[in-house]
Amino acid sequence: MTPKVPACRMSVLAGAIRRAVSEVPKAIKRAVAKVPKIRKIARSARAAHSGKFLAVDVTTIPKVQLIRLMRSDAPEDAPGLRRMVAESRRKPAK
Amino acid sequence: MTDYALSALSNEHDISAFACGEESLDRWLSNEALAAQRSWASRTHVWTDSGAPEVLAYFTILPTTVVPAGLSKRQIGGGRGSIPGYLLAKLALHERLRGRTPRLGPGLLADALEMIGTAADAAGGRLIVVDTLNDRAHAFYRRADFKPIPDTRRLVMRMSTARAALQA
Repeated sequence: MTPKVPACRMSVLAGAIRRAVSEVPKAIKRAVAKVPKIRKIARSARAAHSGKFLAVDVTTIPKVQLIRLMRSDAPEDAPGLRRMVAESRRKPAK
Repeated sequence: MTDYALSALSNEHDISAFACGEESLDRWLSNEALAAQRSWASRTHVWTDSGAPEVLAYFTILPTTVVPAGLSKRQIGGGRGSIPGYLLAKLALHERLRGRTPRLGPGLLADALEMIGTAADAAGGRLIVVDTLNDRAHAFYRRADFKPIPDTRRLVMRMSTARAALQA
């Protein structure tokens, strides 16, 4: 059965399911913690693992590039830039 | 982010007296910035004192693509081929504004990153790139947490990192 999700979410779902099946619950926790956007989908993956969600044929879905992209988009800490921004918000002396 | 007025460079601005101490940056502003603007090659934004035409600082930005060589996986972001981004091509402060407290360089950089963020909202772009002219500029961007690309004078920052810092 094919779930009714947009194509762009299919790869995310595939990645989440793959991780869920192999590493439940660690992978889901990690996914939920790192990528809020896929929280809902990760929950679906957990449901899939428990049999409540009929499985997607993962082999027909292309690579999980999107999930990697989403994960890698989490900002890095930039204390130097934050300091500079804070400094720039102080009233300049003309 | 400062009390200086930020606007796109135009014929109305007085660029004749601009001097930042780096001749190539002064020359760019006086000879090339407007032409590049008219041809849509880049955009130059300037600081002026409110109501005055004299340019006190400027930065130039343009869209670019970055080859992944030398970039980390996180910087590349899972894509293939060139990575879309923005080049912060010029950033210069009039000598007269140097040594102020608080320093104005960070404010100018913050304005440039804000402007790049606005462009990225409309058009995307994963990385912000700078090619530094000298060690002093290199150190400035390093202090702002730009990451150097080994064996080059190029530094990069991911858009998400810049946005997070600006919104903090």
